[in-house]
Amino acid sequence: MRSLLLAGLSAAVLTGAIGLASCATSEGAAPGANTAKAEAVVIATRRLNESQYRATIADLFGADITINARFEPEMRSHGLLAIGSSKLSITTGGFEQYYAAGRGISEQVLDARRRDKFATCKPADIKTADDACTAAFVREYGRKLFRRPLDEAEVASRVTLARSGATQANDYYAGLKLALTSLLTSPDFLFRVETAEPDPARRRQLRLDGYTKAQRLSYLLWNTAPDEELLKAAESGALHTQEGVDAQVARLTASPRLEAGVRAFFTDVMQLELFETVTKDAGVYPKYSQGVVDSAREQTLRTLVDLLVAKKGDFRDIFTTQDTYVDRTLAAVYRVPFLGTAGGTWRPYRHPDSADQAGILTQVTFLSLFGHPGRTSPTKRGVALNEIFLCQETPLPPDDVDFTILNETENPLLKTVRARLLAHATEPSCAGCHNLVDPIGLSLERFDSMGQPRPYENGELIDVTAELDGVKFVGAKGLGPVLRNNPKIPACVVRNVYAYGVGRDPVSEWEKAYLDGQTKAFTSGGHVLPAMMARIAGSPEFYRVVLPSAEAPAPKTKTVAAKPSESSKGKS
Amino acid sequence: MKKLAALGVASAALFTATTAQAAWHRAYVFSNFEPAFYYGAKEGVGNPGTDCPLGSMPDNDWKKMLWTPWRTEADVEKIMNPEGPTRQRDGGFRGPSPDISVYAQPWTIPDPGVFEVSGPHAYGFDLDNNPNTGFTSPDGKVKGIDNQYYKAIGCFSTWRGPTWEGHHAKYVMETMRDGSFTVLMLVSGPGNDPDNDPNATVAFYQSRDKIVKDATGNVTGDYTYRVEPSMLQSTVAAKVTNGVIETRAPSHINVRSVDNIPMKIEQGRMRFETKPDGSIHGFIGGYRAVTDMYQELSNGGATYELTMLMNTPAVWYSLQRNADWKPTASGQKTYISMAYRYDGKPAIVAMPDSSRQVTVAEIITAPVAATPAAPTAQAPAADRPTAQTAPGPIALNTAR
Repeated sequence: MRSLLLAGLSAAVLTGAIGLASCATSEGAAPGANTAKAEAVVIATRRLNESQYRATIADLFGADITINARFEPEMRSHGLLAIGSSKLSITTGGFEQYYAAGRGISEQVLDARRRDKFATCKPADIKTADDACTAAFVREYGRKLFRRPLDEAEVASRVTLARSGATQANDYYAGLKLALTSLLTSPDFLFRVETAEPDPARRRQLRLDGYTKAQRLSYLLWNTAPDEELLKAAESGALHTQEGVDAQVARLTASPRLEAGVRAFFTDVMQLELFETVTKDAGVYPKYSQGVVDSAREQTLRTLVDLLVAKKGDFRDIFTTQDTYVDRTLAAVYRVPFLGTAGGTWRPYRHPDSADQAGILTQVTFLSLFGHPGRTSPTKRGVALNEIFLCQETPLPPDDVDFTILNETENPLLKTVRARLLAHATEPSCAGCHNLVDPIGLSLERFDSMGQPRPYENGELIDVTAELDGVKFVGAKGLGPVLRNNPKIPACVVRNVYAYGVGRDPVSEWEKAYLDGQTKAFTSGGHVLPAMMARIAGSPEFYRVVLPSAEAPAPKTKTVAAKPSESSKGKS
Repeated sequence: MKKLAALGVASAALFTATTAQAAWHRAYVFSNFEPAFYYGAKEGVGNPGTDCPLGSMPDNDWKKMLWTPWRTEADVEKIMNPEGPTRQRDGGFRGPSPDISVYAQPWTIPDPGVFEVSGPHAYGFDLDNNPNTGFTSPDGKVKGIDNQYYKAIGCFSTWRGPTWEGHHAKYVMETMRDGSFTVLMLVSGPGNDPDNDPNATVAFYQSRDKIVKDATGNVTGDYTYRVEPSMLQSTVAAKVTNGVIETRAPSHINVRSVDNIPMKIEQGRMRFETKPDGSIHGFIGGYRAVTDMYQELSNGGATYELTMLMNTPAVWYSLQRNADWKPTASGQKTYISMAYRYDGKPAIVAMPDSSRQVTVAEIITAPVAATPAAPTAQAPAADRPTAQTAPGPIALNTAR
């Protein structure tokens, strides 16, 4: 029975995912909008990332549900995983992982201890199928998992599956577990399917349907599926009114759960997934460990949440703030005392004025993510800063670059990375890009490749003077204010919040004008991030339909109700 | 737990550290320590060398050791049976009667004998200020080094080997590096130069915060450790000369030792060199009560004899024979000269409640009500019987 279900679900997911991702048409025009039967257009399928998957399951079934799965790698596009998620499908190997996770979740949710909480409809006979109870369960949890109501065909396919399973196992709950597994492995759960519908107020134009709007709001602000109130707002049509959107934006941004949304945003923007692959040479950086990685990630997110959400501080202060949090592990990395009588493993810490550290660029996260295993890389740091905070991409280096000098870490004449890098960058073909990105990185050279302070390299005091856009500065403490006053900084974070929310690179003229306006509002409002997120989430442009690019195949329409499990209909 | 909770609620103000000021301080966590024995062979960890020309002491012949007039050959075979090992329980009962443990009453059997160190070199200090008695340092610079502890037991294989390479250093001391206990050393002074201050003070503390190891298995520096005021601590007047930290005069030094037996050192000396990476390497030495030393070595009972391959009654006899300080009326010396070798990594020392950093080498005390009892109810050495006064059973920590 397992293999049968797996085969059926696998085929449904793979064909469903491909089908959903392949529709395209021109911006905003409604294909078939003049037909008598209103049809929905799938404009994007965005694969749930691991944190969204876990948050959704925890919301629905409790944080004690264990999810044992290895999630497929994500893809970064135009600076964001959120944009890359629109281009992802699921491999067969990946589907097996989703299936295993779904089955494990079903086993836990419907075990003897928890089933009464989640399956409130009691079967007449526990040893036989009960279609009515199954249908009630599928409707309730299918709506929460798919983030929209299920149509009758979708319900019926799961009822059939559950009936078959219950009959074979002489156990109603065995069948119900199959139905829940089917929901959890459906593309309608694994992908955020964004759907447009004909706009009744504008002839031949599309608008996002209410459930898609609810998803965008919820994943941007809470990083999870819409809650019951948001689903009801979608269902009632309230999200098609500005008042309705404003009310939900106000509710979501006032909630403590906004922290989860902000954490998820910065986890994406700051490329924290790189922690999974970054390694350090244990001989050079013996302190570097998984414990340091975990602590570093948490430090950065805590610092950002505290400054931007709790204190509603100026976003630009992330480059200059001396306030952060440390645990015992990070305190040792920074060589500072781990003190304080309050709190548990994390304590607030303020870097003294005399310290080189200030701002998130001087934290282990940024400094270790963008470095080599055995040495620093001012270039990598500069490229990353340009990309993450200035939204400026740097061209890839030529294939035939000679890195010999850079790797000579014990060169007696070129004792510092700066000296070696300057020698390397004299090549005319290299100089252009290096001149653009290196100054930023060179100013951070008094931190080694895992973020430890180091005034000297090979016995020589490290020169951290630098120049950016004609402004001369010294070290990390000098870099912070330079970045803080750079007008590209607020523009970039506004672009990133919007692109993260809509899942695409904003390139059209109206979007550029819109982002300019949002940036001005952000600036005039004191660069308060939650307020900016609320403005974007509350703006009509955030919900404007932009159909996939013209390079995609001809537009296809599909009814809102996908039928992922129909292939298993009638099979045992 | 209750005691810990009581300690936890104690505010910073309740701790009665003095308000002394220091212009500078440096702190360390001991990352390694072992008896400061000199290995006289050129290679290996147990080869014959200038220290022990016959090599290490041979492994224990348990069948021979267990034979007593009151035990049959079958009894011995039963104890020796690896399928039902009872040596750890029965191994010490090999005295003249079944109820006598030779660990508690080693004098009840004849001296099994040991190879004593016969070489000229040793580490330690010239405790009696007589360069004509004792060993010479391996580099030949210091004469008259008094380290009779080394002479007494230095040929047992567990202590032989190059620095940090012997069995005792690699495995027994690993318990410390694995977090079983933590010893801190804080140096502070009123001068302007941490490398040269004639009026420094050194404090030794313990912490309940575990030592942290790095990716290479070595102890990591720069971690913060809270002083545990209920545990053994002491201060010593010191001087720092070109980065070398030394006692100003013979002192009483208390430092945590293995098995939580206080290392109470009389006429104590210390000498630590500061390395370029900020770590330290050095020695603490002086005289320790023979009873303490024997208890430390016999506490493990048969486990020590099995894993460290020493013969406990032989150790007792050798310690008695080589003791070299504080004689009783009968002339039997009650203290023995010794030295320990240490490595330390830079660390940060904090008050017990983490309220502030400890920057002055001084005793940290907690209010009586919040002070947990000493972790081991060890009777003071003076209260325990000695071989010379009352050869009754020696109190052993049977909890092991």
